[in-house]
Amino acid sequence: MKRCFCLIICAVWLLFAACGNISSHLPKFSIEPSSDVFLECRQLFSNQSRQYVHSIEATFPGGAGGFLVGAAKVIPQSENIDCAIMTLEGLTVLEASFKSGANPVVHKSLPPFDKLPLINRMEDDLRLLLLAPQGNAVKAGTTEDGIHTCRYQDIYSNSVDLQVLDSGNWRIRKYDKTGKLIRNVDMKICRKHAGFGMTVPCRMDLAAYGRHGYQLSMELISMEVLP
Amino acid sequence: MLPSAHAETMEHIVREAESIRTIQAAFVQSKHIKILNKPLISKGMLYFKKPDFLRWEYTVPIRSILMVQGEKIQKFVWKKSENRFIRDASPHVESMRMVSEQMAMWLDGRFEENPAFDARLSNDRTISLTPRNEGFSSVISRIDLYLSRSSSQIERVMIIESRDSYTEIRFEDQKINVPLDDRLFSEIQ
Repeated sequence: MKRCFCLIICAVWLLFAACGNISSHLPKFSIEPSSDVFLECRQLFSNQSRQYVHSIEATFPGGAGGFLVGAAKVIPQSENIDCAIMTLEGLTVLEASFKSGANPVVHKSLPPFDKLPLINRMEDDLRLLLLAPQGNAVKAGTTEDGIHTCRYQDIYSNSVDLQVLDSGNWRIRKYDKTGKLIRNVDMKICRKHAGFGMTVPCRMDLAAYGRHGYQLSMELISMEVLP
Repeated sequence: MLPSAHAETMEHIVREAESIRTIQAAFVQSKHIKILNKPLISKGMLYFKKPDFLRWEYTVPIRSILMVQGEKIQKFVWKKSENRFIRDASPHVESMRMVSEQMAMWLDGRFEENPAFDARLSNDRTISLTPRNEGFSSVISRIDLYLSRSSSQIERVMIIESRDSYTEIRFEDQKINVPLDDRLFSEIQ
């Protein structure tokens, strides 16, 4: 009985410990006057135009989901992204262009990729993953956990924290205007792509929170720097 | 539907296909889309056994196996982070039934029995399949099957979605009527 009680206490502690890793509200952190952290954060997003191909595993509540291939062409100067989503067998299920400040232009869409809310969410996620954060860099410093963090805020008061972890990997967290965590992205950096003169995540795990939460796990298949 | 000279050829193709019991082939798939400078190349193996056993396996860049054994269809995808195959239970797998039925028809030479596509044979040993259903033609505008010069085996398939988006599948090292174990169509192995 005593052993069983200990196991329950351990399980509850582990649960809290696991939850503790992801704070669901905008954390406070000490501001460092030095611009070193900002320089570190700037390395995360290159200004070079490039194209990516990723495998994508999507998981939705209830265990639904599937595997897809995503291709994206990113032009950082204009903040434009062209994207295509394909089945592993090569059938294109979505082709769309996302231009900064304009409505998405859908060239082809098959269900369920023909729903505008889904396309809008996809644009938000692509911008979060592939482009430097929107808005102004408001502060840079170190969190209580000792993680170097840069905070950006857009005109709608949404905040994005870029974090450079001790492992060299990155984390991106997006909070809404109330400070509630709405996206968490863990980016694993791989050395084999270091030759491009930029740091490239070879794996990205995105978790979207809220009523329609979902998870996307993306593995890099190829990346090419465009002229 | 076909000029008489071509009809003879079509009959010949069907007759030759009738003698096929199994097919094993490697394939290279090139997916062309406007936004990619270079096509996305996938490679894998195809196994087909009459009447309706199919294994369509990708080995590069994403490992996945589609297995069809009569009515039973299942798909597995390699999950790198877990170092194992996991079942793809998405509704998309069920839609692969149509694709597998199409492939079985082509490999079986039953081009003209196809309820979904209208088949036309051209001089250069190409069978063009155009969707009979208007809704379907917005997904795929045409499929061209290129037959080899020496036999009626399909050498190359072009799946044309639009002017800028198409998939080319080239079959290599085709082996006809080699024994294929039934487990190939039901087990990952």
